Amino acid sequence: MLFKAVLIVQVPGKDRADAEARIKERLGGWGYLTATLDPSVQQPPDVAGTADIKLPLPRYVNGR
Amino acid sequence: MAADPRITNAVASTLCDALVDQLDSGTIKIYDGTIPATADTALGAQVLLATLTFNATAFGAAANGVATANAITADASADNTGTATWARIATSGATTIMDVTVGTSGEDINLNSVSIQAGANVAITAMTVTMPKT
Repeated sequence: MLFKAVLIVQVPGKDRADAEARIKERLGGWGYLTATLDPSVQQPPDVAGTADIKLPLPRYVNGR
Repeated sequence: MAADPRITNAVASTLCDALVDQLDSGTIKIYDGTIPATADTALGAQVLLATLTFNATAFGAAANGVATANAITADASADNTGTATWARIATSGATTIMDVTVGTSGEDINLNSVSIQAGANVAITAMTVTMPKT
């Protein structure tokens, strides 16, 4: 008998094709596997950075 | 001789502390669009992309006019998708302290990418504020 299973997994990937390939690689032994990603749950890329703020120093005193 | 005031290290630190001490539990709100003409200018059509939060003690005491921020809480889920161009830094009570530019290099805040997608984690891992002495 064959049973159909729906798995919800989160996998890292450079893009959709890469993520699908990773799923198939891990679960390929099960056979008959169709990997389909749900774009709505795709995690957007992180954004990170630093700040170095130089304050303005008024250069004119007493109207000069 | 042209006007050219110079302040001491101690005065620079005092001035710097006076500013950053207002940022305890304050926010950094990152927007798209055009930076307002002045920090007193109200927001226009700019879209809020992400909000980061300063520590309850936002900065350590300034040294030689330079204050370094304590850990800043990242926005774990950006509000909207857009291109980050500037940020408004405010007190915990939402009083604007200053506006700063955002880019990938040479700006006040430099991110690895200015393209922010809704739901993304947005972090600033280090921040300094400097009061120039000359």
